[in-house]
Amino acid sequence: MGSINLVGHAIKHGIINVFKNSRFSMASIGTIAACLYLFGVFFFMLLNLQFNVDEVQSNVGFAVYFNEGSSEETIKRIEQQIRETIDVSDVTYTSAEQAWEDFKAELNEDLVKTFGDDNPLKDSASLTVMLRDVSGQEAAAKAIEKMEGVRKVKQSKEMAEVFGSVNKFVGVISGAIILLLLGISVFLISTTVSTGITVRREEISIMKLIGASDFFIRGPFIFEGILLGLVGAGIPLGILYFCYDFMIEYMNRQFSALSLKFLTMGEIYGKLVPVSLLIGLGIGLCGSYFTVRKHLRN
Amino acid sequence: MMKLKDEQVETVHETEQDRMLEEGKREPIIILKDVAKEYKSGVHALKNISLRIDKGEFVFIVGTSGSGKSTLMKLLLKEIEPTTGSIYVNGFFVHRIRRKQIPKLRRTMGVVFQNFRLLKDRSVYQNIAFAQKAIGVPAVRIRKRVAEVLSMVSLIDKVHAKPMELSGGEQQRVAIARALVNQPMLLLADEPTGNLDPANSWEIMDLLEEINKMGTTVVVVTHNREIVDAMKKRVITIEKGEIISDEQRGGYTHGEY
Repeated sequence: MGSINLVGHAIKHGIINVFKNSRFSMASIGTIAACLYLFGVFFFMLLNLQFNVDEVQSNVGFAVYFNEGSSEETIKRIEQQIRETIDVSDVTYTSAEQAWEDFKAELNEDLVKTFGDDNPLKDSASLTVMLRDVSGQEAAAKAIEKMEGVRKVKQSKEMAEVFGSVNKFVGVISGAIILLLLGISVFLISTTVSTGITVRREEISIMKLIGASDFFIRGPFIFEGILLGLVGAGIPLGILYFCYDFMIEYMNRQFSALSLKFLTMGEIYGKLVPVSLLIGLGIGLCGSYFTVRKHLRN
Repeated sequence: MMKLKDEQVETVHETEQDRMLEEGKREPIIILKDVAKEYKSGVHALKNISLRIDKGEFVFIVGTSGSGKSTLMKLLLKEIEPTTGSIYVNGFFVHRIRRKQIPKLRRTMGVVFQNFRLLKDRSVYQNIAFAQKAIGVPAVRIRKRVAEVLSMVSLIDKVHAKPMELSGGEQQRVAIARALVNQPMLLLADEPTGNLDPANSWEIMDLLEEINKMGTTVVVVTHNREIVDAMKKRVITIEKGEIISDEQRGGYTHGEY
């Protein structure tokens, strides 16, 4: 049989198996769907939290102040040293004059006049340092504090830390639940496929005696598993598609203090669809392949 | 030296082939050399048996229940492994081929069982076509070939019937058609008349003889004394795992079975 015919045979009989074995098929699909629905919800939360962490990281830096009377040359040397030793995304220099100008904008005009031409922030020249990875902020600040000529490092790390820890917590909990459900899904697919093999034992034994190839015998069962996995993955994708707005509302309510921003549906689905389908395919393939290997060895 | 199909050549070790085949001028299709089979339970099903069946022969294998006949059939089909000895079937050294080559070995044989082993939810046509599909024959050729074998077994008018709508004899004829559809060189029949009345039994044996006359080697395991005695074919008698007689134009002469 040509390979196209063999694949056609596997697909046709795989679909027949799913319907013949409908109760077990429904149980498998239901479990995979539940597993991947939860996965989708956690994936949605993780992606959005990560998105917010990235936002914070790109907007929050820390300021480096210098010893009194530091020359521009010293400041440039420190900036160079920071760029060379720390993984920064950006370093911006703010001169004492600029700092005073920025501050003046926030002050009462009468109050500003009392200073005349004096610059009360004459020792406030600073470098604003943005890190690529916010989790390294503590270590980076300590390293910079030790640099010669640095008087003080002022961090704004609280927000990033909150996001970072929430993200980690959600990741660990969701990982554990998903692993458990994946195990149950593989087991259920295996049960479904082995029931199908038992029901068709006579047919399989005749196929073996007339010299059917391994692929001809095993193909339909493998495809049955893949089909169950993919259908099980498709259902929660549909549900999540219609629940996205509700989930955003829920996240806003639960984490109102964090003023969260959200990715668009397209951005989430661009990642969630291939990942979910791959997991569904993987569950189906593993569950059916190992069961078929076990039951159809001889 | 006999000619082998290309795909089979790799399974045959030259020296062993020469040694096993040099014994006669006719081409052998089955050679067993000192074959023993001991099951894990400790039962010695076969004890160092040797036999040779040539192409084109019609052979009865007879013996009491538990004599080792079924074990012999399973060994020929490589459903089980021999404990010792070597087995040659139709170009394959069965005792040493790898698992992946088993389907190729079995495609050279047709097998018929006492209980027919037809798929009850499929029509006569589907039962026979199934054997062709399983080995990858294109659909167009399947239709033509199934019609040919159904004519051969005189069941062309039952093509759409389900097995349960047929008599025992008709079901066995469908099973024979399925065994023949892939044009095997060797037909193994395990108690083909065991579930049939005398009239149907004779119909089946006549059919097997006709198939043999067309060139297919036929090996029939049976208990049917009347048929064996009447047909005057080669008879190999197995008792307690040993071949106790092997007679051309023999009969059921060794005790009551």
